[in-house]
Amino acid sequence: MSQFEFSSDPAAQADPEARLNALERAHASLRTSFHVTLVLLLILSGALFASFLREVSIARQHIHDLTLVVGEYQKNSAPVIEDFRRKLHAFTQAHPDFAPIYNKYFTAPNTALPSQEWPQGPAVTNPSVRLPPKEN
Amino acid sequence: VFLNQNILTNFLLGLLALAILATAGIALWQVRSVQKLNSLQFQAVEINRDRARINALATEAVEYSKRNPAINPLLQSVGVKPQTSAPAANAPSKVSK
Repeated sequence: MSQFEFSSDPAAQADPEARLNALERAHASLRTSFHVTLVLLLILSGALFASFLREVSIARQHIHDLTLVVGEYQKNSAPVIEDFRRKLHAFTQAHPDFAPIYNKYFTAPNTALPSQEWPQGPAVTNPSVRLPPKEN
Repeated sequence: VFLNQNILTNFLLGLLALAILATAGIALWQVRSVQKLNSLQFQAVEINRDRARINALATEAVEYSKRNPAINPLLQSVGVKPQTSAPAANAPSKVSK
């Protein structure tokens, strides 16, 4: 803004001293604007950093919780389920009338238990799979 | 004054560069964390589905045991059905630890 004022001012163009002063003022004004922009960018960057830090903190907490769940399943539940499946399979060989129930849960293409290739995690006791069903 | 202004400019520029680098780094960390979280959530869904399926199977097996008590030892061995102190085919069983 001040540069345009400077170049269109005939008095300033006539006097070199005044022209120099105008240039200095324009330069100082530009420098101040640059500093203000840098500070604003710093504030923006800091806000983004804080936001990402909060998101990462929440995500890490969820990862920790889910790792416990998956690890518990792999360590405690999956072996029990696999043992149950193997025993039921053997039982089905001896009692073919149980085969419809067994096949309903284990022989469909997408019913393989997914725990085999999962990473290991810390174990937590969770007996939900082992709970016996209610009886009357 | 001019030198001080230059120092201030350089300081602010350096600070901004550091802040941008730090923000980019934590953004990358966040992306990777979210990817890992998505993977774990998928596994958790599969686990819940498996547990529901196994519980349904156990319920059907217990129903089947009313028609064919030969399955009772199997169900008791995996804890699906409580151990009975006095074996009786159709009598209600007592829970024993």
